[in-house]
Amino acid sequence: MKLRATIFVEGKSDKFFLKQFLKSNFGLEVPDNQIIQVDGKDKLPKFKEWFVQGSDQNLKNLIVFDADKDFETRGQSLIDICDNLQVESEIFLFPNNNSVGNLEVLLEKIINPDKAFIFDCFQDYLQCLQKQSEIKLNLPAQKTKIHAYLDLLFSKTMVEERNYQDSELWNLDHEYLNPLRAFIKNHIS
Amino acid sequence: MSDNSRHITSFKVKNFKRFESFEMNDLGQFNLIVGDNNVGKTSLLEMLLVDELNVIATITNYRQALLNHKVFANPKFREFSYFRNLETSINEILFSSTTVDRKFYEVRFNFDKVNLMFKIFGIQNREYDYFYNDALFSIEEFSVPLIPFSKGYDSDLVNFYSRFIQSLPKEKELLFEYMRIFIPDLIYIEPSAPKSDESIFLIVTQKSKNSTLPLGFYGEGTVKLFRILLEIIANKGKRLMIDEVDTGIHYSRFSSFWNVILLAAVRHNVQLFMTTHNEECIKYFVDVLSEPKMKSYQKDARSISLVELPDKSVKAYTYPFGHLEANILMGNDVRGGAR
Repeated sequence: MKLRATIFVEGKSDKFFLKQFLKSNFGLEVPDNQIIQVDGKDKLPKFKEWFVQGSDQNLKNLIVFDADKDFETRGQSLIDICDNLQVESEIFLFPNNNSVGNLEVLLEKIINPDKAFIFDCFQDYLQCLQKQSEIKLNLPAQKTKIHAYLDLLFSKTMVEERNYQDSELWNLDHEYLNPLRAFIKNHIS
Repeated sequence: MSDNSRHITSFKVKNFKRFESFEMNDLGQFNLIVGDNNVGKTSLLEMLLVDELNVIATITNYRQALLNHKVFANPKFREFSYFRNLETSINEILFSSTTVDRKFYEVRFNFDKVNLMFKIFGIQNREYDYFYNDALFSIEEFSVPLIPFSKGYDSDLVNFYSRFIQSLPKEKELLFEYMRIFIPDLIYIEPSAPKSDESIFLIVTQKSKNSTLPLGFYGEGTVKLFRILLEIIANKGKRLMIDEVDTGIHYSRFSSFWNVILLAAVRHNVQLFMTTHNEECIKYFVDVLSEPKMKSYQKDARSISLVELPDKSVKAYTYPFGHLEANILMGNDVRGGAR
């Protein structure tokens, strides 16, 4: 089986998660040049050659980005960019192609439930931080939360070193991943 | 071809080796060619040997390319001939000789300004008007603008130096200045025969050494830089093809290597087409062009990725500098290759 698509992601955290998701769910070792990092939607035009190359090789173009604060707006802006570039692509927005959020929201949903207390404690920490207003903080600290989860459990925290296939930490079979699974499955043959 | 120089901005070819039909567009002055093994990178460099304005130079270039491939058994090409096809208005060139496997082959191509055909045939019916014979011209008149893979020190460098550099003091000093990035205390490089009855070598004189050394004693990278710089100076205003430009260059030298090559190409108005498989080489290419004094040349830099498509044809994708830089910054694989 092969992935018949090029996947465009924002950054390396998305890339390393997807590589392991594809390995775990479909047994696919996807080469690096089939998952392209583009930084953000505004940078997409600089990666147009990959879209064209993929289409020429009968590969579909898949954009997997964060929905962030407005699911509809993000989706539409990506459609507009692809129209301007005259490239065809299908879009999936983290966390589940239906809600606002990002990869970290998805990751929080697929943690080992036995370790959920760490996130509960983190809520208290966040509430404490939110009480002060003098200094601007990067809240709700979603990346910090994932980092803390891994660090507290003696696991590697660097994005490219994370092991999402460690069932003590993550559940890559979680039903929350069903929309992503279905999206990818269409492009495997 | 652009208006004010012989640099090409696009190129189209038919029936050249593995390419039935091939084109490159949006070319710059500095073109890095990347792609998988056997996708045709070296063939692409050979395509560019066609000289739009000079049939004899084209013949010389292709003869040398064939010699590089060791296709023909007879290195002197005694049976090499040039014919003009009477039935078409296009110049047609025919090489014929006995190959190393003792079969008789003919290599034929015809060209006009945009199209080039190159095919190996068996013996053909000669429907040609005899036009030119190998014995009538000398290969010495031309510098073939292709540096093949792993071309190290060879006696051709002496001839080359004597013909194109030795009598030009300004060019000579420039060459020494360029070479000082690899030999910082270089005084000069000159042809010399250690004994009167021996061959002539290029000899390097350095401030810090009491004795001189032949250039061939220096590392592969130093000889390679020398060869590239000579070719750049000799091909002023034209284009130069370099196969595997990174070979022999240590990564710690890439920055100064690119600096001097690109600046020399700018000074002598030479368009470069260079193949590489080396990711570090490409990164340093981008780094050097990101330096303040080099930024104005970014608009002239391209990466051209050759990709084999499902129907086995090959397509070229041209990345302008900004796109190449964005891919490097994001850690994407910029060496081309299969997916």
